[in-house]
Amino acid sequence: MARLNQKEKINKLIIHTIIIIGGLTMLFPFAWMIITALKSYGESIMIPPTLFPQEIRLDNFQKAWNALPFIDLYTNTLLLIFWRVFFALVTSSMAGYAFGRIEFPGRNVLFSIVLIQMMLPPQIFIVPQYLMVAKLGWLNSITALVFPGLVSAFGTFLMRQFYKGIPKDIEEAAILDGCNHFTIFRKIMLPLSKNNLVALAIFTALFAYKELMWPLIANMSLEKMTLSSAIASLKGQYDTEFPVVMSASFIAMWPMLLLYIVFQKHFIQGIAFTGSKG
Amino acid sequence: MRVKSVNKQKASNYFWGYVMSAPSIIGLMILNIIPFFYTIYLSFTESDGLSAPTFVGVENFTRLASDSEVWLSVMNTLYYTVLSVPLGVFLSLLFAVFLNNKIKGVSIYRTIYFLPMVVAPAAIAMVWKWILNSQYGILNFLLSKLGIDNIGWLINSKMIIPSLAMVTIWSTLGYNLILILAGLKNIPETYYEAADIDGANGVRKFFHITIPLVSPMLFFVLITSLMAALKQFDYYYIMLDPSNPAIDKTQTILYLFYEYAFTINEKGYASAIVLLAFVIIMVFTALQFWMQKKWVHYE
Amino acid sequence: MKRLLSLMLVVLMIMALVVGCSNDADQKGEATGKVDTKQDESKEDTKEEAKDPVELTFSIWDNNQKEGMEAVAAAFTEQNPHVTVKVEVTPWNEYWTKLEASAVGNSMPDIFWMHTNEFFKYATNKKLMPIEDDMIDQSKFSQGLVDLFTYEGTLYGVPKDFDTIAIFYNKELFDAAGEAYPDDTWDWDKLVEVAQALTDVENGIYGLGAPYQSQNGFYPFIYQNGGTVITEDGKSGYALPETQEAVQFYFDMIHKYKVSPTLEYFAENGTNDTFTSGKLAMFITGSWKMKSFSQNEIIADKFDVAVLAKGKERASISNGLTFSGANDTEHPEEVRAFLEFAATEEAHIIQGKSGAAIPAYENTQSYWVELFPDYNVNVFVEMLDYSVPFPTTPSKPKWGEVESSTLKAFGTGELAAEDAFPYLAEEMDKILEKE
Repeated sequence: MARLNQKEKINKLIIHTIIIIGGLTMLFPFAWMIITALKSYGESIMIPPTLFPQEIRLDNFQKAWNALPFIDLYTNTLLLIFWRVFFALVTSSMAGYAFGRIEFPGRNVLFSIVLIQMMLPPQIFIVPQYLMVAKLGWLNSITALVFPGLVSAFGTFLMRQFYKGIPKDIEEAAILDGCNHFTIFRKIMLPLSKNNLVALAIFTALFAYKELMWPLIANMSLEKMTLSSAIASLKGQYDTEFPVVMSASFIAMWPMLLLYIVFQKHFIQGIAFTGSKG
Repeated sequence: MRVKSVNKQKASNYFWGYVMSAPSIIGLMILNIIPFFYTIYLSFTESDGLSAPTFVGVENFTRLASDSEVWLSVMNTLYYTVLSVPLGVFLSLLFAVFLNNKIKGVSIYRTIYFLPMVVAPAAIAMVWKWILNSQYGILNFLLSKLGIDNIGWLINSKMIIPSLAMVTIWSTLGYNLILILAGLKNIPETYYEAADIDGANGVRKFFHITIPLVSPMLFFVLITSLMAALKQFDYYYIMLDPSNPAIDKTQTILYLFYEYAFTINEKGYASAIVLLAFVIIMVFTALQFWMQKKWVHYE
Repeated sequence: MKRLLSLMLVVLMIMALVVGCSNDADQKGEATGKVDTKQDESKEDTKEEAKDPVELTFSIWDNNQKEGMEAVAAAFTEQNPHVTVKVEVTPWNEYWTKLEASAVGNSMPDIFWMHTNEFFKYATNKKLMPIEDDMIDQSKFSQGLVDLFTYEGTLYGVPKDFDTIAIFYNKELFDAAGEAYPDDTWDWDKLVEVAQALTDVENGIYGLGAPYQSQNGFYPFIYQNGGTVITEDGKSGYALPETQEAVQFYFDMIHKYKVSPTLEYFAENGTNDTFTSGKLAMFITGSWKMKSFSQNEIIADKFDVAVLAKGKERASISNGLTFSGANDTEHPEEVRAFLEFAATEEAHIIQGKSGAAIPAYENTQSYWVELFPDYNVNVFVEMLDYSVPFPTTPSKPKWGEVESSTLKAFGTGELAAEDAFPYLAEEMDKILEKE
């Protein structure tokens, strides 16, 4: 018995070591980002680089804060995330349910449209979607930002995987009672997939947050842009001030990080096939 | 009577199947499928993007077939995919299994592994560019302490693809890990307890319980990683300078597409290239769906 | 089968829809020169009366120049109180993607910068507002600059600024090596000689940078050697021995004279950071760098500029930008008024004082020169006398790509001269022929 414990301890130790090494690898670029953000411009391009800032320059954060209209950017990013999440939740949960649990002719053909969207490179959508937004007169607005993400192929696929995992017997009783699928969806499945929807929401939010090209194309002014694309626009044609860009990135990552930390528990539970436990 | 109610049931199924999938499908048709058909149309034309396209038949495709630049980019894309996807999914699975243990501070670790997801892509690119700089980067600095000579991570045409695959794995590990972890959380303890009674060891348990039960999520992760890898463009675009002489030898198919579409202004040929990319992605995805029957277990 | 047929039908319908739409839009744009449909909600209310407030959008790609452009816009608003101009910056790459998309969708910004790289595409598709002779006085601008933006006899933009290429050098490194600063007596031999004297490989210091750049790289050398990129009869200049010799000389800096880091090095570190961090004694680049270098806390007191060294003859490259207007703008009158204003001495003085670029209007360059009293910036203006306009043709995007991939391979030593030049000349000729 004692021996087993010993073995277990060694196992734990190995696992711990690997996790810590992995964690340090994950953290290292962040450490470097923060270190760079604290350096003066001169020091940031020093050859060879200094490991720790010779003098700590907090004014980079000041500069970054002044360089971009962060209040607008936070607002736009949050609005974009809110609407994208809202639409993704509504459309993807319904479609995911239909593809995962309802038998209907043409289901596979229609589902293949979802897969096709996922297979297509996003670059081919930019110009046509721009034309649609322009025709509709939505350029330079939050609507323009939200538009390409009104529906989510990724979300539909994800929700389909969830619903497919739920055992058949859960709804059998309801079907015998003569309930239609929409009622089952609303009364049984949606409550079951509450956590799943949180997961979908977080993924949608992350993708919206990371979107780079579309906000730059659809919206002209900095005041109408999102955090990620505004940071990309800091890189001018000729110049890059690393410390300022790093500071700006640091300022920009907090909302998403907080969102993740707050919802972490739901998030992980959410991706699990909660249904199969019942 | 019974037959009638079954028919009625069927009709109701059909109705709700269409109605519930309609918003997504209509949205996808307008936002994505129409542009897709427009791309197909463009691939049979010549256009600079502004002038009206002129029809040229299959000229773009015959050119494509004999264009060594295109096939090199296809090989590069596949190479990048082979380097980034299996290792990436494996590492995500490994760390997910580890983080599924009851370990002190596990939620802190999860947060750390998830960190790359919340950083703006431009920032990721810049940090890594600086870390991987061959002369002054911190990575080569550390390696030199181990007696390893300068490695041109982002300039040597043999190293660029592995380097970018590495950055990809780093930046997507947390995302894949969370998905798989959630799948693991779903496996009832009782399965393992039963296996313990049978005297199964850890490896056996992993392959006979963990893998099959987490397989739907693993499949999802695999499919999405595969598609993302075959569509790789971003890191090339933001991490490599256009003056880099190695770009021509290491570019992916979508980078080549972007060049033709937006730098050289040959929309027709660019569309043909992107359709080739689409066909390749489709083949791989179809292969995955076909193979899933062998290893993915749905309830 | 039936399903397949219906699917095909849907496909055809969709295609007809899309194609129909874009044709429709094209015709509209061409026939009337403007679009009646409202593209932007904010502009809706401006049609009723001419003096209703109008907001024009003005799109640029350089953050350094935002303030200068806003100053020009403010001065314009002072004279035309009902018109405000909003300056918007989009990074270079996305700028062109966006401009193209907006041109297709007839929703271009009212005013925008145009660059020689992309000029022909927009000019041939009638997306630019023609600058009629009565709008501006062309004689106030250098002919070379006007020619760069003239297509089939019509000028399509108001010359905004010009740039020329000069030697930027690090005085500290020159002093340390006991070398005299570059001046107008220098020729190619002297350039190499001093570059070699300044190179100190052990400490990672190089005498003269030779990155893969055309305008601020090997182009000036080509013209200094009596060569050309495009011959007068519209063929590739890379078949000429003078051109080949000059390109060879340029990349010899890396391989033969060993005074420059490799192309790979510059792909990673860029010339600017290398120069700023004191690892590069000389490199050639354009006047557009003056503002940021002179404000850079590290390099500002350590550098100066000099004319390019003389080859068989003197030459620099001049390029420029224009203020261009959208042909399909909803406010043609206001845009025309702005362009007319942009062509005045006043606008160019304001621009010159902002320091980002040398104003194009004659005799306003001194306002820019005065901003840099500590530097020999007069050379940029002097060199205009013998500068060659940036070589470009309508198929530049295509041959530029061949040029860059071939010469990059040549510059790394992977392709030999006898393979690179004949191939490049032949491929370029094929593309040029189709124009």
